[in-house]
Amino acid sequence: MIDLTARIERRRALSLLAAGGAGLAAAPLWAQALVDLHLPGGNGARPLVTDFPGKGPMILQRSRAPLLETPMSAFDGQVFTPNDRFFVRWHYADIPTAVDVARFRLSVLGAVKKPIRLTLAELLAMPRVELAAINQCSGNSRGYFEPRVPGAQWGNGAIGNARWLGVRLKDVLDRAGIAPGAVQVRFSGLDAPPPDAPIFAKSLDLAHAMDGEVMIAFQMNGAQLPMLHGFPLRLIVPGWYSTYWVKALDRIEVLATPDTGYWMEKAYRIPATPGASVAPGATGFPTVPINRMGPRSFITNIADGARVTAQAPLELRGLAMGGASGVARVELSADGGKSWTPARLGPDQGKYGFRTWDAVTPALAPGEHGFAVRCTSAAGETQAFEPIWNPGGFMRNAIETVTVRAA
Amino acid sequence: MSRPAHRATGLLAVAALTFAGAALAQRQAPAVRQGGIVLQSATLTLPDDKAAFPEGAAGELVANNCTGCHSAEMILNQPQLGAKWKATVEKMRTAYHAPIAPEDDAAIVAALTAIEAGHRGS
Repeated sequence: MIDLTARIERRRALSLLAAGGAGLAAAPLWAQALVDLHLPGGNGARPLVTDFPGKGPMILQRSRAPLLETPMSAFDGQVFTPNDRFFVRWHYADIPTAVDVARFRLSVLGAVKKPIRLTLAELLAMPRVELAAINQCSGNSRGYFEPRVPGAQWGNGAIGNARWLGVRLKDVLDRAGIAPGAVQVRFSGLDAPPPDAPIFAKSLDLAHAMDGEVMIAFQMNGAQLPMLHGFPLRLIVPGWYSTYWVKALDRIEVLATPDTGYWMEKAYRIPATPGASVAPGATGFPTVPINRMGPRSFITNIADGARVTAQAPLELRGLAMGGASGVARVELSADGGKSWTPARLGPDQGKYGFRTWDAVTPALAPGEHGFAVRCTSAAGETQAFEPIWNPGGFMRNAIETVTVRAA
Repeated sequence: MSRPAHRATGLLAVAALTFAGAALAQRQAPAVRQGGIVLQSATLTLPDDKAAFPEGAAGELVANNCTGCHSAEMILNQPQLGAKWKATVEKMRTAYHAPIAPEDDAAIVAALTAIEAGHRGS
């Protein structure tokens, strides 16, 4: 139980409530409903669709190549995001549509002592590891950047947490043997680029690839990987953004020189500045490849602008993550950040996964109440109110506030 | 960079199974079993594109130049970009080798801007 009494003024509250009450255009026939992501400046209405194989209701960001976002309500009350509600993101439209498990091979080549091509049976016979880890798109929440930036206009739902079962990348690399002088390892999958476009491939430094935590998963939440999530194999890079979690992984290339491909040298770069933030419009700053995630926290049981019962306590619950380290604490503020009260944390399922949290407010006076939630990671990093900005729209992790009207 | 040579053999269209119906496919799909884990061959049938551009010259021009690689929502869901569409069109050509002739850029940017204005009802 925590004490959240003060009522706060919220600058956006009235406009958000107005937007929520104005209603959206009628949903098209093929959509179950429309969801409004309340993106600043508008254009945040998205259809909720159910016709992607193996998927429940998902926010449609793009049909081809699929970009499907998890509605915030689907996160509520559980540490693990169900496979049928997990977000989907592919870069190129030519994604694998059929995989024969008997013919599939995982190649390990390049700067190795002996190139190998592993069957799935050989991989399944190797020592297994299981890990809870959050998979979050680098551009999750890009739609909330101000000023807005082009790219996939995600709300907060390009994120999910799953139990991954597979083998250590290190064990697979050891079977091939790393040759002297190797510096990086490059990963690519069965998706194919349009003519002349760069193949989607991502690289990790050799020491990272060999750290014993990076893994190759064949199961997601106890089931074989769904095709939309990279069947039959997916790279899992705990604590790092999803861009490195290569789907339908079939090729591992050990490199003797750093990867100069488009997807490392040009795309998914962040400013080499504190918090990966620059002034809007800035140019000429040095950049580095995106890497570790930071802390985030979400309220999952109450939507922004919701009406709640006055003179009654309100239960708040949600999810938190530390990023590249665990969750140290989750705190709530009902006074715009002047004071913070700890929330109760749920069971620890591993430092790379979500942690549930909950809290109960005292009886709410009639009127508006804003509840802000922030997470501090085990590494000591705390979410801030002030959002970062960068031209790629990456790494947003500002404090989220939900405003309710008690009546 | 070329595709790895083994890619074609790693993919098998199990068309026969698709025709045989889902229940039969479930029984017949080849599987690999090892140590208590079963991995079963799988297929994916994606739904058709949903959104479309408004009818007219602008919509046709953008559809012809942009939807070879991605569906219309990628454009319709963007924030108000206005003249900044030019940078995006150039990125599609330089980074992804989209077959867009540079001399068409001005017309495409104008069409994108017109669609954007109409889409917002402004």
